[in-house]
Amino acid sequence: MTLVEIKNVSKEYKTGQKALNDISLSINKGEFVVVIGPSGAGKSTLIRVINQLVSPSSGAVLFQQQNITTAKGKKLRKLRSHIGMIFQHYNLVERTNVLKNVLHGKLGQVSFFTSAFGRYTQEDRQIAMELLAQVGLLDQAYKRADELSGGQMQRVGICRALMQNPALILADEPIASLDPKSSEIVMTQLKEITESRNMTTIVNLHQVDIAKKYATRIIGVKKGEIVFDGTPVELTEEKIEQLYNNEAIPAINMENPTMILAQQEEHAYG
Amino acid sequence: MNRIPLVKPKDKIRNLVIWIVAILLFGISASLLDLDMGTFLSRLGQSGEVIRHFLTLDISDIGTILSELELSLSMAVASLILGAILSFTVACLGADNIAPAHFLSVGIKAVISIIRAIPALVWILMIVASLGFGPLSGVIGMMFPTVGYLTKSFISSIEEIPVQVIETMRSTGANWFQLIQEGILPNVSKSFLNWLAIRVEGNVAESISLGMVGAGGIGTLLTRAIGGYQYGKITFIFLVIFGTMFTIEMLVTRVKRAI
Amino acid sequence: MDNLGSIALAHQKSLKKRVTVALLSVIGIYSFVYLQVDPITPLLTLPNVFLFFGEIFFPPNFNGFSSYIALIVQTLLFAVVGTYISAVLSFVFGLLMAESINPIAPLRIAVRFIVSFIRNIPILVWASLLVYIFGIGNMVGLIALILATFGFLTRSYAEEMNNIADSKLEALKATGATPAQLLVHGIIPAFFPSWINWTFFSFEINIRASSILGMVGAGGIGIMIQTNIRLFKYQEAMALIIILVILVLLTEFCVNKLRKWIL
Repeated sequence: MTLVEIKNVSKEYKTGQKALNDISLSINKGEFVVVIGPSGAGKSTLIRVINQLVSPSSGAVLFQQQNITTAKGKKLRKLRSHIGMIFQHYNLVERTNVLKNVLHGKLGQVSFFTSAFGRYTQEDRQIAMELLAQVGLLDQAYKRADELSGGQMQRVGICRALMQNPALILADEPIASLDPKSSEIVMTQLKEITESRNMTTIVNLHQVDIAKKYATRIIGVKKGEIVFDGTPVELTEEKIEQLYNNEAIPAINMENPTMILAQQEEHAYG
Repeated sequence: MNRIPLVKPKDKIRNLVIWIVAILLFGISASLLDLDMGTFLSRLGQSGEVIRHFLTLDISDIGTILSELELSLSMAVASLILGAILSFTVACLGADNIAPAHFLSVGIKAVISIIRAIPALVWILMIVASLGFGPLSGVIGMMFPTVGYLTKSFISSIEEIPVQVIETMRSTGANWFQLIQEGILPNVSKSFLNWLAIRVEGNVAESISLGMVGAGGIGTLLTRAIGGYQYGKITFIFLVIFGTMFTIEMLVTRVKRAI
Repeated sequence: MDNLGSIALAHQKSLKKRVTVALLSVIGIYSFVYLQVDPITPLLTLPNVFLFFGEIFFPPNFNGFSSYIALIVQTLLFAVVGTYISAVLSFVFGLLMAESINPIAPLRIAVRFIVSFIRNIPILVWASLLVYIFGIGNMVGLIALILATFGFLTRSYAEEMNNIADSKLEALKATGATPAQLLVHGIIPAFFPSWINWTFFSFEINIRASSILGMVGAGGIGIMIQTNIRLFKYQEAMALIIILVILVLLTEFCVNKLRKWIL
């Protein structure tokens, strides 16, 4: 079943920068898609047109067969409430405690009075607590969000997204600000959640080895266009080089930095 | 299923206490202040009449007004420049990371606090009482609040310089003056200019206000016009003041961008 | 690499800088010339100032102290009430003025103009105007006091709100929150520390302003100081000034302690 359909989407920013160039893409339910590509290729923009945080210059995006690009107001908010999003800088409300941050996931589904006066139902609170327990943060529930480490904050972000009971999860560079160990925890959690709850996940990464490890489908974006779309097995070294073309091939695993430097030199001097 | 609270009870109580105290503080203060709402509201009704009088414009005295404006502006600029030079010197002696002696730093900060605690108008009154009227008194008078503000600002900028920079300079054997020239100046010049820019508007506003208590300048003209019930003139001077302040605000933004 | 282009740009900027500095120097020198005061004289006169000052203002005369207490209390009360009202009003207008929060452009521009108008008039001018129209009274003094801080508070708040709205709100928007929810759950919690800081800062300003508004008839210590000086009762004036200084320093101290406790 097609969950997300991107139809001929282009995006040009006011500065003249062309982020997306006539992209068409179909994502099905249950996929764990990882989008890779060099910096500035358009990965962030691509993810954001899906929940309309960025508005395309032309083209349309369909989510659950509904046009989210033209949706406004209440309709847009309703569609967004079915899409959970995780960010590179976690974007938690720092002075608010962890539990309340998780409950923010419900904002699109409760009335203003419910959320403003803290009248979330006991069921919702229970669900929030259970989510926190699943990621191992139950004892941090009442701590202020900024008292947590980076990895912990990201896991709270995941709980917040799951609180929406979403059909789709978007993750924009979720591990870019994390150390290797926390990154592994977060990615594993994302993969587990996708599989156990039969969800769909689209993740932006710039670490190719992680992409290969977790994805069911990899999409390579370069200069606003899709240059690769296939399984991790199909992503050969050659294709990776083409994708990154003269740029260092980013990997979390820096075991062999000299080899990477050598490859860079090779490309520079032909 | 246990009831799950949104915040820990201890925090809830703390927040509640803060709110209650805040509201009580306002309530008590407001009631103690004996605000004459009734009288005010009735005057509000009558004010329409008075305001209508202000809708005239009397530009007959424009020559005097502009020259008094020039006086106010000159006093503001002169006191700012002198104040800045003095402040910089004092700040270098007062910042605890480069002060020659610790007691100097403590002493200077205390004195500056006292200077800042006295409003500019009170300084002017005191200086005029000591020296008599005239532009010199105006300039000297305004130097005090200027020095007060700028010194504190300069000191805070100097104290923000990372310890390593100063240590490095000291370890090369630089003396105090070299430390200032090579180590401090480059690092703080940008924020110093910022403080100066803020102070320009402040000094001009003060200069105008000072005129109102008799130190000369456009403020004096305004007080005179008010005393003489000259509506049109009041409106005109008012607009001139607004125009001046607004222009200065624009200019300062422009200059900041250029430098 | 557009090296030539960037060199030309840097050259242009440095030229602009030099011209600006030159212009500013001219203005500076002109002021001294116009005033017929040279830069050295004020500095040289300073010792004399201290001398005269010491002679006539000291020793301070605290005789009327009991009557001063009421004035001190009144100054404080004015400052407290004025700060509260100003903080709330500025918050509302700040919201209206922030680009990232208020999408209605004409409303924003109107608010911006009103705020700029209020801010660009020195408060003593406002105060005397208000006294002229409405007469002397506590209410008038309060309004003048609110006007004193309303201008810069609103602008500072709006800038801060814009910063917050631009970066922090993406996540909440993505959950499908309504604008009202964004405000309550996203903007206000993030804005709170700045709000407290600015409010305390404006309280300190209000204490000083409250004391001088008396000079145009709006009540407080200022009128006593001015009256005493006019009547040549310098030593009584000095007593009042010392009391004022102590008041200001004490409130600064208390406010700092309070600030650390709340934040």
